[in-house]
Amino acid sequence: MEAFKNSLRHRINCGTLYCCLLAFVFILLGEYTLENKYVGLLLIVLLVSEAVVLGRITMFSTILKKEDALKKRYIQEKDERLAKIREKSAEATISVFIAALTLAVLVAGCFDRLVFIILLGMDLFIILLYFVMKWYYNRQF
Amino acid sequence: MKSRIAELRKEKKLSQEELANAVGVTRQTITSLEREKYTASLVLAYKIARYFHLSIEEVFDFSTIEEDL
Repeated sequence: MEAFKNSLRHRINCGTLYCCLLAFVFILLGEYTLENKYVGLLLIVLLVSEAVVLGRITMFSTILKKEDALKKRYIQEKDERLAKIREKSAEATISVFIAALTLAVLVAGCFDRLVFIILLGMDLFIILLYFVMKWYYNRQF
Repeated sequence: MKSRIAELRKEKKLSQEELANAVGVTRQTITSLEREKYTASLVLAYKIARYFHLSIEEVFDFSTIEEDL
């Protein structure tokens, strides 16, 4: 349980660092908002992500103070059935993602060379990453 | 996999939540085990059997696996 508490504290620290960095980016980009609508859209996305992270920091801080909540959270994270659900969901998502990205590469190839190259690079990177992860976990287990 | 978890739980007048807390899983995992939708890992099977002071074979039904051997 002590290791789990440390893990929660680590997440709170990382979340806090992320929020500070985001606030810095927000200040830097803020003056360009009125001139560029895409920067404005990016700022909205950053604000939403900051709100989500702040929510999680608050949640973890509350959990650390209550023993019952800590035990409940520990069970939720370590429960083997939930872990299997997460694993299966990730597996299915990555397969669909690679297929969709490959399709996007083919479609982009018909319209724009730069987009095609970027998407192709991403696609090859994801496929390479999959095989590297597979090799790594093969050695682990 | 078939098991006697529901039967043993009712004998001891335990709720699914109480059993789940005792073995360190969610209530939904106990529900899935009782409905035979999920097969417990060796560690979880041992924890459940130990909780009821029984062996794993007395709690879980391995007859289908025996047939395959």
